Amino acid sequence: MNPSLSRRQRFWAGFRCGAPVMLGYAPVSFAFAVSAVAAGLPWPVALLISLSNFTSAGQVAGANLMAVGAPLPEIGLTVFIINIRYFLMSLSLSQKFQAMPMAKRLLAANGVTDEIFFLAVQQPGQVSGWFFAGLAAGPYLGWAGGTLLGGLAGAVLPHALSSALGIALYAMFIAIVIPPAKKSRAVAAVTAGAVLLSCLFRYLPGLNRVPSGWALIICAVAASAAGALLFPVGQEEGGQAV
Amino acid sequence: MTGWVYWLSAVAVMALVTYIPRALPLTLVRRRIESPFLRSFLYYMPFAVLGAMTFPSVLYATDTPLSALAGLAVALVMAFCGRQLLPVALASTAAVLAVEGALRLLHLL
Repeated sequence: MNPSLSRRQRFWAGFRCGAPVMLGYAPVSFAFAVSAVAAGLPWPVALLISLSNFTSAGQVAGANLMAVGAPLPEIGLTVFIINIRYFLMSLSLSQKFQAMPMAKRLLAANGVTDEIFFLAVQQPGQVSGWFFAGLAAGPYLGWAGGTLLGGLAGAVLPHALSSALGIALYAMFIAIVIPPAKKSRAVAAVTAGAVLLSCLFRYLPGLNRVPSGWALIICAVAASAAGALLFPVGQEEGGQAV
Repeated sequence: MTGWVYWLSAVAVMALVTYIPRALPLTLVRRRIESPFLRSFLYYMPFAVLGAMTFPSVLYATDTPLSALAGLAVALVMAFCGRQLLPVALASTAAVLAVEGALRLLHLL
């Protein structure tokens, strides 16, 4: 940890880092709330889901199941399978939290989303609890605020706009992955391998019966393991802590 | 069976199965992982997850794969040019809106 930075400085450094994600999340959670309310959930329930889950794909699937009155075990299992990827992300993130006490780890776990995780592990060196809190705060507000607006105003939103917003999250994923993939051929190769596997799991008969949460894990583990065997990463990875 | 008891219990179940995979590795793995293979694996994993999450799902994120392709192309080009997350997301959304607008005018959607 960098002793020259105060808590407040670390928090705001993290907040600045996460600010684009805050603005990117709002339209996505807006779209989530619109579809949840359209499916029959009261808007406070949609908001409660966003506040307590803070995840995209899992809560969309869960809300759809809730709307048709699915049994709780089915909801729990579906959402869990979609969220299995967080095991991998938190495992990776644990290496950035070496100095963090247990209570802070339990709190920080709430902030592990795809984008926040990615921004955190891309930081050079260790990540402090205050930096991570700042990093997660903006996106959390964006996610909650977008859900609230979508739940209240969703009925007046033209369908064309909510359809177009469906691509926003994926565009953000692309903006996150491309720059590092441009710098490293190994990263580009691993990403391309994962994309190829994922397409096989979607389109090949038989393979396309694997539930998507599991398919994602298999693709990610296979591609990263191949990458680790073919292009081992050196031990360097120093850098100033934040 | 719907109503507030059902909704609140379902939200609680969802929150629990979302929190568990996030919290377990963070709390159980407290030491530095030394194995070069595992370290490399964890280094590549984020890219692999995002890649597999994006493709081919991105093609089905809008009303038609045509507009999704347009949004995808715009996002790829802008990301290659080093643009930030938000401009990429907004331009991609605008591209989808434009293509779907054109398709609706031509009664193809």
